[in-house]
Amino acid sequence: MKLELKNLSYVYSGDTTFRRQAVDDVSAVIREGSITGIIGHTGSGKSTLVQMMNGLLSPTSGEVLLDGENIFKDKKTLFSARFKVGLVFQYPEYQLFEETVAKDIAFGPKNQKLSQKEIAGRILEAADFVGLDRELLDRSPFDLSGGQKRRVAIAGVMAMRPPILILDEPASGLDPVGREEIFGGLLRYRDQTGATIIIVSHSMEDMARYAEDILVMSESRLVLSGSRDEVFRKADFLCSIGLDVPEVTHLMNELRRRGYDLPDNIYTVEGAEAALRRLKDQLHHKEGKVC
Amino acid sequence: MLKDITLGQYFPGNSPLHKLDPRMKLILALLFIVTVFFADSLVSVAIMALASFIFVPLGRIPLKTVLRSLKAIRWIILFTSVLNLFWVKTGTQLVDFYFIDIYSGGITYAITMALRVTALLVGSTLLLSYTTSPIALTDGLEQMLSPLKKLHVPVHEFAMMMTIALRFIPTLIEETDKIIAAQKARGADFETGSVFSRAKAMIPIFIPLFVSAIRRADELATAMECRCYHGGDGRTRMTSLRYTPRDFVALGLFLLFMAGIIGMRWLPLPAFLGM
Repeated sequence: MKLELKNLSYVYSGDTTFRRQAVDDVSAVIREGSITGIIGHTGSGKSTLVQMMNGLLSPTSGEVLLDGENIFKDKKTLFSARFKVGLVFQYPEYQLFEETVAKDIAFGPKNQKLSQKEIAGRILEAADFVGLDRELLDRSPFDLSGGQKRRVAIAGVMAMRPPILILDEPASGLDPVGREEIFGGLLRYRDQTGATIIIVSHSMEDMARYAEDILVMSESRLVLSGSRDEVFRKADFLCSIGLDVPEVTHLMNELRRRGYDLPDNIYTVEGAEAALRRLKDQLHHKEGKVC
Repeated sequence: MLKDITLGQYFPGNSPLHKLDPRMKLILALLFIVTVFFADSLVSVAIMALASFIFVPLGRIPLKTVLRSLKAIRWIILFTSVLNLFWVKTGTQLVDFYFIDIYSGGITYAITMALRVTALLVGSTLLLSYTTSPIALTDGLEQMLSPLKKLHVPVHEFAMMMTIALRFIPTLIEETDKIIAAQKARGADFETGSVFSRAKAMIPIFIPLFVSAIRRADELATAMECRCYHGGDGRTRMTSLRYTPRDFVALGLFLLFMAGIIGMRWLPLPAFLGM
């Protein structure tokens, strides 16, 4: 499903002295089936932007197009957009409420008015996506660990099987293993359903690893968008708006500045390792020639 | 959507009213309320209602805000007035229409009642909620009630509870907003259906809200213990409350005013202005 944003703007407390423009004239097309990252400083309008994408907030002006149809056209379209664009908020584990994990995951599909049989299938499917042990399905969600709760909450949205899945800081506050599990689940979901995934994050490392396209928000505006390489190549620009590139990219840029022949598109530790090995071999080769 | 509710609407400022000691403001508010009930003629109540608006410039509160809070209770004012209009049967009869009898005394009393409620609301909110921060207010209450400690009433603990409760109102409102948005994103529908199904739709909001309130309480208790909080005994304050000459001037002026209002009871007033 194609998601397109057209001149979206959002103003809080419109006609009072507290008026604040949260999103200012943002237009973008999210590539179908991609993993798109949205990065930006706190208060740059990311959260407001994603809440307009599934119609929770109505824009002050502009349109959100799903396969060419404006979701704010009428009430029915708006309601159905919530199932087409799944939104997982930050710290979603605080929204669990049912007696058992299975019942909580079933909340979304039930609101979709699916049949009992279909709901049961969706529960198992969603649990598998996020790598949740099936034994946990009958437990109370409040007895689980933080990482497990987070995965239950994400499964609750995946169970609606939205063709577009948006997650606000899905891995914040988790340890590296927990982060892996979350992102692993997202990749599985994308690969098996062909869905588009949009991730809002502060972590440049996570973005470098998982995002294919990146949108950069700064002071309510969309200031940069493109493929991961195109965006991270502009390290100076990102730093100028208070953002950053991954640590390892800084290291590579510094080495390149000191005259080492390294490529400028390295954003992951694995990539850096490979590049450094190549460099080492080259230098070895040269030295061999000299001697 | 819940952010529109303004609770304990405190306006930070530096006006003469803000500078009064919260204890003195509590005393003044109490005296003000007593005076309102002592004022029993239309004229004296009208003076009270007008006088209560003196606090608007004194506290540098926008008049618009005060009027808006009056607007919020306009039905209560109207209801009490209208009720009195039909119930009081003194003076000359003006209307006799089947079961509707209106007497001149009823009209006077209805207006008196409306003015009295207005004076009460404007006077006490301006003295207390608009110009005194909730923290200062609980501090003031705690110190005023501290003699009760001798009778083993846990005054400090009550004040602390009140402070914590006030502190967490905005936090919980924000949290509720977030939970509502999250459940809406999962297709929860709070707007359609019967009253029963709408009440049931609240469960996915209330359970997470209670869970998080309890979690927060637990975390706060731990944090307080980590900082060695152990209640009121031997505790000192960074800023202790002290009466200043300003407070006594305010009290003196107020007592004069009060005496004047009460003295009006013995003024010979025309009958339609009295009761």
